Amino acid sequence: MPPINDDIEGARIMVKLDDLLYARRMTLTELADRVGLTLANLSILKTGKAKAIRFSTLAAICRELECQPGDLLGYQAEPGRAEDG
Amino acid sequence: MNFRSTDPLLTAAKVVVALLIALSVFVMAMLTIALGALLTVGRADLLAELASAGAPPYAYWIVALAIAMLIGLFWFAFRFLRDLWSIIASVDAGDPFRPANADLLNRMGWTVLGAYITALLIALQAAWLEQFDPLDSMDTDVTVDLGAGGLLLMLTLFILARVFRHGAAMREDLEGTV
Repeated sequence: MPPINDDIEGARIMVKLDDLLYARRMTLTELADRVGLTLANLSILKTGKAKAIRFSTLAAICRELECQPGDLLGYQAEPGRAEDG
Repeated sequence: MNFRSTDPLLTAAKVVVALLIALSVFVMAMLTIALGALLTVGRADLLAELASAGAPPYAYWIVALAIAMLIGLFWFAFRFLRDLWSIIASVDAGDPFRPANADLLNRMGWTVLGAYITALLIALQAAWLEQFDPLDSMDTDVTVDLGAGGLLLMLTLFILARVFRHGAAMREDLEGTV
């Protein structure tokens, strides 16, 4: 699970696209075709290099993978720092 | 230099800027030759002419300095045009909002300020030389535009540099958005 946004106060948003693709037996290329994104952009998301994700992209991915945004994204607190709540 | 562009305006701008760059280089070369001649073979003639005009001996060095500063003025013009060419090329490449362009615009602003101050000093030297009447035959008429245009251009460039810096930051954000 590659983290993104690790420059913001140590917060890490994990993208679990790899796990979801594996569970759905779907390739990244296939998903890119279905959601209308370029493979390059989807790779950026998968590898955690994205800085932001559009709601439209999130909705398209959730639609194709039949999941909720929470299934795709996860939050991990800064290492050594207690999680909120 | 690649002049081909899909946008006619950019092509026209490139042609004009390239011509002006060539002109500035040519004028710099000519002025350098003139300065060289003034300091060597033309020295005696000029000193004689200045003496007959009643100008003090150091007027010779004022003339030489004025020509050297003119070379400097065209050097500023050359730098400005070269930076402008880089910006036009980046617009043509479809990638104008980058930090390098903000730096270029900032530098162009300083170049305009440098040119403005140099032009002011040349105008002062020319005004001083013009008091010696017989020197009129030497064509010391140097008219320099010292209006608000140059300062306004400088301010515009500094502001545009900030606009481009913001643009570059926004573009960077957009690049990371999927």
